[in-house]
Amino acid sequence: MRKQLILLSACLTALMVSCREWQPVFTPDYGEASASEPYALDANTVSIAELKAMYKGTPVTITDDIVIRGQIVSSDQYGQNYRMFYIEDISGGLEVKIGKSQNYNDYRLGQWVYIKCQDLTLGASYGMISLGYKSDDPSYETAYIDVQSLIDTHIFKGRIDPLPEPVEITAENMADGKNFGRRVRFRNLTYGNQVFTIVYDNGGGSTYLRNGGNFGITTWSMSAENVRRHILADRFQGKIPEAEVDAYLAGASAVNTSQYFTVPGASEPLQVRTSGYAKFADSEIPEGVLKGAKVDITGILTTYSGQYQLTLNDDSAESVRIAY
Amino acid sequence: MSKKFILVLAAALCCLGLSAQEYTGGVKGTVVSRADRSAIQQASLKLYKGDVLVTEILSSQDGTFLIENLDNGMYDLVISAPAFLENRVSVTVNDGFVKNMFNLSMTPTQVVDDTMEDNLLEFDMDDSGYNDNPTVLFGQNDVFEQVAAFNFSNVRFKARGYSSETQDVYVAGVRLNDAVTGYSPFSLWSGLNEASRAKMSSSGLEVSDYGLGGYNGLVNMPMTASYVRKGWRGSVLTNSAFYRLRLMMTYASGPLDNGWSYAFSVSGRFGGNDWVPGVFYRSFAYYASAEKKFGDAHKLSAAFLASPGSRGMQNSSTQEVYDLVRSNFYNSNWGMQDGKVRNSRVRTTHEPIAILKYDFTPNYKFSASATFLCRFGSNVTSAMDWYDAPNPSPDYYRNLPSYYYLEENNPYYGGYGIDVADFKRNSPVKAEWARDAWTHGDLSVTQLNWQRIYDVNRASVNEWGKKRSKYILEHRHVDQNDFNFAANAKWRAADWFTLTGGLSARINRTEYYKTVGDLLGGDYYLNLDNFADRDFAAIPAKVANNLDYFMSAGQVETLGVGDKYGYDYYAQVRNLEGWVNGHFAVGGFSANLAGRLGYNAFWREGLVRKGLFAGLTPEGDEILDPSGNVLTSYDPITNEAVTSFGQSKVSRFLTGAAKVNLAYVIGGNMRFYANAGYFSDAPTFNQAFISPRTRNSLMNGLTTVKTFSSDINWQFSSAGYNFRLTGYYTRINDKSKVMSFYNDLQNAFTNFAMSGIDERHIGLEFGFRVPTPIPSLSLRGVLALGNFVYASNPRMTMTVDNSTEVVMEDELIPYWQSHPVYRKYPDGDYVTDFDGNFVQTGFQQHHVPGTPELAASLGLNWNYNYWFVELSGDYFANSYLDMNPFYRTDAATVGTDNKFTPREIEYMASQEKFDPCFLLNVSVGKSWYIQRKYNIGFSLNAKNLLNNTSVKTGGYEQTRVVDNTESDTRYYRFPAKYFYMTGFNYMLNIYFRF
Repeated sequence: MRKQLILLSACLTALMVSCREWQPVFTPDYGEASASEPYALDANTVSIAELKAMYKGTPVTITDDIVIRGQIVSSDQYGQNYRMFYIEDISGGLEVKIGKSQNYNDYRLGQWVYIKCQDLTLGASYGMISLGYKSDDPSYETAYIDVQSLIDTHIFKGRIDPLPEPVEITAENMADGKNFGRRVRFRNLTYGNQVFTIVYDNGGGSTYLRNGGNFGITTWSMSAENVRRHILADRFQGKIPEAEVDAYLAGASAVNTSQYFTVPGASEPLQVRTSGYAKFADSEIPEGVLKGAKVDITGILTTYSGQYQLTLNDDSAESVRIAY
Repeated sequence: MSKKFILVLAAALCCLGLSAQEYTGGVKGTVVSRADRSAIQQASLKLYKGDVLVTEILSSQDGTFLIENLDNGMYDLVISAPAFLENRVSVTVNDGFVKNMFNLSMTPTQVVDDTMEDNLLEFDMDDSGYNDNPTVLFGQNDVFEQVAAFNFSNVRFKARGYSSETQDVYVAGVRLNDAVTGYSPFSLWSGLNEASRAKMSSSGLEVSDYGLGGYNGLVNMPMTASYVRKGWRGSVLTNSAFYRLRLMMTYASGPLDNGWSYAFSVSGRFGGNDWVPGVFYRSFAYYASAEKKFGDAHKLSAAFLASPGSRGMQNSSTQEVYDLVRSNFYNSNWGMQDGKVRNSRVRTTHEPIAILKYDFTPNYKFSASATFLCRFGSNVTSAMDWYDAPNPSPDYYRNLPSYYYLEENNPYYGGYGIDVADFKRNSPVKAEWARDAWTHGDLSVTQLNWQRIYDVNRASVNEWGKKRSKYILEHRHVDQNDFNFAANAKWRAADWFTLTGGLSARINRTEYYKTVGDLLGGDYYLNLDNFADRDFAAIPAKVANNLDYFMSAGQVETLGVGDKYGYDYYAQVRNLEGWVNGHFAVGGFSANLAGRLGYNAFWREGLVRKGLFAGLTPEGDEILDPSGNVLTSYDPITNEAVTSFGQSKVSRFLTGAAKVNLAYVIGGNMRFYANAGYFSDAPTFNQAFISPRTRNSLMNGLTTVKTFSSDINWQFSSAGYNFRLTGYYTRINDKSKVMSFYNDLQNAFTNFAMSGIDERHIGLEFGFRVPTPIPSLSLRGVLALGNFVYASNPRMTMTVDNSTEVVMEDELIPYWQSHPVYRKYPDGDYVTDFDGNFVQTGFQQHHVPGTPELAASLGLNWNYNYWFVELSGDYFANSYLDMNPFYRTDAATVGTDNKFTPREIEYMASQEKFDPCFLLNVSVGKSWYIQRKYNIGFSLNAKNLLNNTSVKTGGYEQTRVVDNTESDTRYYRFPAKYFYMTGFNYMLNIYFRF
């Protein structure tokens, strides 16, 4: 009996020793996660303009331990600004190739971000400077930052403040490079009745729609369905040969489209460029605007081979407002 | 009392005794268990002469009995004992002698030893995509099954390669396989080991007393009070593979003099395990049953049981992830929240079963029973849901190093002749950053990032200051209301002929719906379809999950915690069945001839109207949105309006089956037997609807599954020597399967409906147990050698989930059954003939996945003085990975250039074979009797002593393809996901009974 009790005790002891993980897996209610503290850093901060000045025509990987600080002024919530966002401070704006889609969830409009630039790369694409990662593809000067641990160690989220007022752009300051990447407003624009887009067939062929009016395209851009509707209606006012209709219908895809607007006093038009995947791609440009009413448009100013482009965050009244 | 009185009394008693001894005949013997020859005490022995009960006694402590004062003549002796099958023998008393029956053997109902507890433990976890039955449920019938039951469960062995829904699981005579899926609902009574311990099982094609069964055995668990072992039983158990602690207590009164018997059981299972983080148990179980006998013929039983509780679930992942974290037990479901491990996938269930049973046994020749059984309650699984936000899964492929760079011989996207440069993943530095986070255990990267999820939701503030959740925990509900009736009868019409039969009916209504479980820091969520929102943003009505609400309110529903959303529908199933079996026994020859006819009907009843599949108005008109857009869509194949609300077409099937069992017993020790059966079974609800969460559309050409099965067997049992040898052949035709997955070529969720899937299962089984020269030591072994292959190329129809678009209609999947193998040069290039054609050298057959085709075990077993020790080695081989049908289509194999190449076919269509494995296990146990009344003991099982952590037990091919390539000529597979068996694990059970 004594032996049996000893053995039983040993077994029970072994049992108790193995008892663990009563907490936390035992808890049915986890409550809510505590709030995150916004990041704040003042050391080693340079202005966005100073950072952009480091670019001399070839990609440069930052080696100094410098930090820039800016407010998010763009959003990919409505399908624009794919895998990137723009930040600005009082010195200028900057495209950041973060590489994450739906990034508006993590980087909110008006949110301050701090970017530790060491090991990141400054480059340019057709004249538009961006901050990203070193590119292994010779076609691009910068690559997306992309990797979460890279992002977590270089981009830090600060507090969310109201958006800064958009910079007023006129013909006089349109070419000022410091405004590229900033949220700007153009006033009293008039519809240029010109577009630029490319549609594709299913065999690798394409048709450029440019220098010929708007080809019947009165939406900001075109989804695949919208492209098909145009082909079936009038083949973009006959631009696509009738014999190739089937091929273009089969190859129809969402296409980026630029709608041209005239800037008062400027010799160069402004292209409002919208992705075919934008949620408002198939939204009509307000009828009054199409008929010549003046319009104020707010968006992110960029450049492409010397041309001026504006990217809308959305087609709300805040972005597109008829000027009275 | 005076001496004189005593003497007179004694004399009177002697006279009485003399006068009573008019007859000198009698019957005596010993009642023993067939399994181990142990004595059965308190067995009931009823002696009949014709239909008249002559006497009834109980066997004594040592199993012996003596019935005296019998006249010469022929009698029937009926022996019964709890946990044993009733036995009856004919006895002839001659010449006034007491007939010595010697040992009267009784066959145990399949009592599960305490040593097999861990088999039952494993099947508490039906979260991993498995819906297996514990092999121990079907053990005990012979030496092969005894060993396979205990040793093979940890590799998810499936006898003869049959899927688990082909096993029939009965409770109190009612078939309780899930009405919608066919799976056995073992988890409904997990933790109630004592209540479910008694089992009557038939294996393979044998006919049972409770139903015709199929071809993969039938087990019936009575679960009423009289089948629970009498007395108090308790146990404390700990193990390292499932949960830390299980406490169990049971009491059964046994049959009482007043005809009542009752039993209760409660248990609890708590804690996590040594191997898979984030997995936990917090589960309970309760059981109560009462029985009342009315005379000898009538018995009424009632039972109520349930296993409520929660458990955290495990997920599978790719080998790349397992290698990064240096563990094959990585679980992506959990993350840290303020220092606590929080699992996003938790199953919470409470599904009671209520049983009312009537037994009628007027005599030993006839018995009948009728059972009402209902099952109800809730079954909820939580999961992450999100809207317009990045996938929160930590092991999403874009979070892995391989997304950025692939080495020349990388094993994850590998395959012969793969040019990694084609993947356009050219950033080794980025890959190193990703790898660094994984290998250094950065939990914000490697596990679910709860903090980020809360941050995103809290920052998502709308214009009214309310936080719109982008991530929530959804609760997926599967609530069953299942009503069953079953009646069975058995009539021993003659010594050589017994007729059994039964009727059963089932009404099942299962509601599938989702609710918001946790807003994770937000204030509300919206009831809209994420993918429709992407594709039909211009038509808001199409995006609404509840169109009727949208039309009345002008916007989609705003959801709070507990609100239904997404989908809501009933699966309605009706079954009716009758069966009959004639059993013939003449001399050593016996046969069963049995048949079954059934009626099966099911339909879907949608409870919400989905914007994508609006259907028609009650008047039959198209439904328009407020802007005049037509919302009604039409099936391009049938041209009928696709509906989501209301009733679908009713699918009706007449089903049937026939079986024949033949057996010949030689000398009481050797048996030859053969079985054959043909079955025509209805498809299950879950394999009939293209996309039951979204619409009422049925697969085209639904038909019954036809199965022919046969086996031939030899069995020998004598003097401790046991052998069984079996050969079997089964052909299953016209199975169907539906699956939904994200199709990269369509950039949309698609539904894949396959029909005409045929399988062939052939093989051998051999089991033996023999004594050794060492006393009490026996050697036992089993070998299961099978070949389970696909025997047809099914046809498939692929539809886009958020529209009625048909991508492929009734097309053959050409590489499902097998794929061609081509001749290669030594450098790897393919040989062509003079005409430029590739030279095919043969085919590679594809196998039915989910179980090793070769399973072998050899063990030594020592039993002495209530000690048992067993040491065994097991070997498993020829397991295959579950295939993705999409990889075996022409579209996937020819690639973007639409050109057929042998390299693409062999790469896309080949099926992975798992490595073989060897496992070493040991069990030891001992029990003691204290003061002849109390029984206390322990069993300690240690499995996988060699700590082999590389044993794949299952998994599946992902359905995605890499289509963004440099060459733009072909596709590549995504890496497969796997489940692994745990390494060394132990189970210690301490039990006591009195």
